[in-house]
Amino acid sequence: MKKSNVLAALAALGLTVATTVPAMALENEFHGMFQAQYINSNFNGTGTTTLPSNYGLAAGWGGDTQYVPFGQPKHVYSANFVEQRARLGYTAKANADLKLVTAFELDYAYWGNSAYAVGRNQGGAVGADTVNFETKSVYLDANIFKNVNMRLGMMPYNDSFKSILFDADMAGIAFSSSYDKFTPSIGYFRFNDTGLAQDNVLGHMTNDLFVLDGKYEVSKDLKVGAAYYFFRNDSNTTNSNNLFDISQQDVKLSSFGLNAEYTSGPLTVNGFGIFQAGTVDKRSTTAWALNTGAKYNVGPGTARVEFLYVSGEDSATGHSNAFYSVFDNAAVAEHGYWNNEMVILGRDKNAMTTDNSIIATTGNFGQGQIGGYIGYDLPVTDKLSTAANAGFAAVAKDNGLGGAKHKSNYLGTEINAEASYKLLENLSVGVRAAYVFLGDYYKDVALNNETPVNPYDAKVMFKYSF
Amino acid sequence: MKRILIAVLTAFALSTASAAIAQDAPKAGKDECLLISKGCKDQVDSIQQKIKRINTEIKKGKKVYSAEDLKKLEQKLKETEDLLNTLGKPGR
Repeated sequence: MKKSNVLAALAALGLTVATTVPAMALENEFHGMFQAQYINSNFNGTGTTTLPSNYGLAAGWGGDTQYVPFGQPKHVYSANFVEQRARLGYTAKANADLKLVTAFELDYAYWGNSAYAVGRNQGGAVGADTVNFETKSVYLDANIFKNVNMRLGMMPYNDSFKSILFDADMAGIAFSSSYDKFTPSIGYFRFNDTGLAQDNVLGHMTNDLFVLDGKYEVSKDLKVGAAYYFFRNDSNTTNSNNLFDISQQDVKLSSFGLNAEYTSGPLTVNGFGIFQAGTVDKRSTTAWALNTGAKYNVGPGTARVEFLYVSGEDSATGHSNAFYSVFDNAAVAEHGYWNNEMVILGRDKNAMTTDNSIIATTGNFGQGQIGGYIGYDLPVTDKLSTAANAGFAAVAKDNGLGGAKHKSNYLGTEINAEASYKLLENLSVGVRAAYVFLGDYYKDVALNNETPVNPYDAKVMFKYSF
Repeated sequence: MKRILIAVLTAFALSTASAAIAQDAPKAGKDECLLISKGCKDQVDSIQQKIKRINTEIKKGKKVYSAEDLKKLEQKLKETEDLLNTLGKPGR
């Protein structure tokens, strides 16, 4: 071949490759959200949600997870503040079978908190200029074989039981598959490794989770599932059922669970049962949780019902019936029961850094819980949607949390209502207000044996997602 | 030199023609960007638009997609909805 012909062939080949590259190149996906909300409350952002120093935490700001009115003044001044959050997600997709997924967060616990600082949730004061960039997840998502998906790295992962056991970003490896109507999953996660504190050997004092999960579609209307989770915690952390700080964990606990969902016309019924057996903090443990929920399309909206029972114990010694989740200590609740749609009684779906509840963890610090919840979603127009909810909750067992036995197991009754209006295609403004009639569990627990005033919370929220 | 010029122009003409065909393809039938991440270069969807687009494709049903394709689309819908939920997930 003549030199000029070779050059012509190479030039043609080169240009063709260059012009076809875009179709084969990396697909970049950016998504994100922004949320800013004004809060007026005698619950969030006050002394009753700031854990006392003897709970082993640094001074908080009224966002320490748990409602603790014990020994505090009966009357609480109303807090008013604004919190803000943005999340950014970037996905680099090589092809339909391989992608890198990342997610980041920038938020201010409240406007005005600090400037020129270094720390998560800081930088909301005038001047800003704060290092507050958080990495939430970084993981590889690959379909490594036909029907086999692998996720590897720091990933969001949750249980198959409405998130009452775990729902968090966690580092590990998870495989899922799909064979016709059967969907099995298997995974391993390392929550903590504190080997350096023991003998400078990584892997010696760890906190791990093993997951085995399966779902089966019996028919179009009936789905059933089963799961086995093994928690092993030998780490030097505060991830226990104890409200107070303890240093060395000793957890070997198996959790077995069954779940099901049945749909019939306008009615959907679901539920689950979980049984736990093993050792937690050197105590033999058996614990259980039962749930049922239903949705029914009635009138122009949807009625909802939820019920949850979680076992508890009234003594901190001997055999334990305290339910174990990831985790039950203050401020480390990497799980939640958001299906009950509560704002104060349970974890609020709109909560960001300030995230307090009367029942903050599933185990509820060994007390367990019994709760019934009803609600109704009413879409008014294409742009306006509304909802109203009521909840009734008690502890399953009274273990004297806060210093002494309580007058009753009944925690309180919550009523809340919300409305959301779509201002623009992806931007909505919403209001949500909640009020709790405290039960006799809180009778006489405030300073001078007085009863704390009923808590309320009101929010105005702007949400944008893209 | 003349040959090089002809080859270059031919390659350019072919590549731009094929690009135009690729862009027209989704309107007529399968959306390959959703299905196998091909021909996505001009598409920047918000997450809500993506969900809407997948739902539209799923509704085309078996007239356009095979059972396996539909399963892939349903999987993508779940992934995208999960992503939206993760972005708005409450808590610290």
